[in-house]
Amino acid sequence: MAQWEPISDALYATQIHHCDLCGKMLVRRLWHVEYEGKSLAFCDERCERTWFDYWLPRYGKTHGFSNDGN
Amino acid sequence: MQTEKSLDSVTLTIINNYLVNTCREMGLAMMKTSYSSIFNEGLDFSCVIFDRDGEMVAYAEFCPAQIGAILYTMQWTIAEIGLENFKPRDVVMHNDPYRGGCHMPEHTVIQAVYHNGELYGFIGNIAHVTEIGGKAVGGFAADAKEVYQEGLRLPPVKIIREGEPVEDIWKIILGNHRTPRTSWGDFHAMLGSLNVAERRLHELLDRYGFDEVLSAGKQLMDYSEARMRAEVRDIPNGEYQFDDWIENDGVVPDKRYRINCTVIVEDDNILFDYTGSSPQARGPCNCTYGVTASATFNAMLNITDQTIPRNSGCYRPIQLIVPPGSVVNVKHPGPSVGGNSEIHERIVDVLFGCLSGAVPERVAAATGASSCNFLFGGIHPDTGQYYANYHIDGCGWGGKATGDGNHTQCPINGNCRNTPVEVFETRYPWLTKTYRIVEGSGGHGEHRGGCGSERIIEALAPEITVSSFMDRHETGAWGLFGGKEGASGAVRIRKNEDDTWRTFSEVYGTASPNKFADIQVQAGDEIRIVSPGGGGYGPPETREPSEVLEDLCEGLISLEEVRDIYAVVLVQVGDAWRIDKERTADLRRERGIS
Repeated sequence: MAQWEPISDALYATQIHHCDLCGKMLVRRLWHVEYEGKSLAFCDERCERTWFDYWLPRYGKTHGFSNDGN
Repeated sequence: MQTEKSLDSVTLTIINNYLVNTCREMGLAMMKTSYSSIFNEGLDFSCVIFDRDGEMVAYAEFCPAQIGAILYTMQWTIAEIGLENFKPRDVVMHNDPYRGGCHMPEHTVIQAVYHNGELYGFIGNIAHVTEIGGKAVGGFAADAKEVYQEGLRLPPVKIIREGEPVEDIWKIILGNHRTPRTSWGDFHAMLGSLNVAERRLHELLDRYGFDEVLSAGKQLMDYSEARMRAEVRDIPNGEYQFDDWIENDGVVPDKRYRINCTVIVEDDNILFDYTGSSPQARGPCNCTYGVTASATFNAMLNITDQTIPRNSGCYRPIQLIVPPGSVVNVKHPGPSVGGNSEIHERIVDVLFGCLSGAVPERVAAATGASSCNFLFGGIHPDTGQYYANYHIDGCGWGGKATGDGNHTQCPINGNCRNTPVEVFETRYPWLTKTYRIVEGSGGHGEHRGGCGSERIIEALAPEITVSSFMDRHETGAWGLFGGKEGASGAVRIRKNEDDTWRTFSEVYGTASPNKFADIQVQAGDEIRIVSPGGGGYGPPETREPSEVLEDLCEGLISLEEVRDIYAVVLVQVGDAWRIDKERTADLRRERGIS
């Protein structure tokens, strides 16, 4: 299940939302994906695709994902 | 409503040139009207035009470090403020590294352009403001441990509302800068450049039509994307990796930070994965995402066809992975002032190193990669007023397949210039005692690295507060394909009563010898800044003997190096040297060089 979700932090909030693939700071909205019980935030569907195609097979296990995406 | 009118290539070229020239004219307006020497001598600014989707349509060739970053500051600003909240003649200012910016001194101003009531897009410029408050004069707190020490942080705020200054915001900004008059002048130079761009855009829209100009922007970006994809397709598919090291962060002594990148080329897509880089530093050698993205775009634009129109389309084939919390993507509240000015160029070097395995003919050996950032300020003895200056120096560039590296040129993150000695001495209380190229500091090679420079200045005021953020002082710029390392740089002080050059760590106990802030020097003290040389390209024994002789005559290499390193045999004829071709060929053959 993937969907756009708004980012609506309080004016005093200091946390920064980063894309879980590219690391870019996200503003106003994020592309939300659930995978293996973890909540992932991406810039858009392109970053999501690259996360599954490239990042997960290469780095997934070292970050606690059991599945390598294949 | 945007139409998809297809324009012929002649009209597209005319509109592209018009937009680029508008950006250049914006820059000229800034240069001619600004107050600080980093604006009017250094040209440390960039001017851009965006469409209403926040896509960069055109820019002029100012600072590559800013051109990538303004893409993110612009997109963030539009998202945070909301397109519907940009009124005609509103101007927004922004310098927040945690909202898409590159580091605190870089201030962006953005204005929406409406034509006959309809939004065309945005005009903007980004510029290095010398003095922004914070713990160190000159806005370069090289020992900062968090962003709050680095100066006044501005989220996107309107400084002009429908043509009228928002005085409360101006008071806050100027009340936090040590040299508010200079900031006022520089900010108005930035605003003046927006006036130039707005006027020019209206002329263009009147002449060619709103839909046509909007459509031209889209077509130009598609065209640039297609050209850039063709360039990427020319790079052999594969995986290429390289790394380099930052010597210290200004806070933790003797700890190095790795910049690592894996480049993956697959047909017409190219991925830059920085996952192997060090965790973020305590001190300000960190980069924001915008800095790392800018450096990546900069490297790509340097190895691809220079005739591709520069706009957002160029960046579409490029994808990045820049882990947050690393030295290449700092997380809040980490400091980052050094990333944009000193680490950007190191990232470009790393990418050239990666791509040397794929397109060796297009890349260069490492540059000196230091802007030699030297900041100072205090009360000027002649005026009684606070002054501040951001001083940069050039370094040697790396040799490349097509020739030697340039001497003493400002690094690849900016097309900046340093301040001429005459202007420097007129404006600031220093005496320049030496400014010269350091002979022999370029790495030896078939194509020699460029040489660095040496500058010695003597303080004339009773007290001057200085800061520094420099690197490549322990290890020189690496060579490629058998080229040798360039000489490393240095920053030293000789106190008035001393006869020895010493590091700032020795004299003042700073954590780093080359990254420090808020040091008070006194009249008669001398500062010596040596910029690093560039790396050599190719084995020196293959350098054209006539070029070796020329280097000797120029004083760039010694007689011993001619024979020992370049394997060239010279004979003296009267006062002149001549190449002994036969013995040179024999010597090179003995050393296995055909």
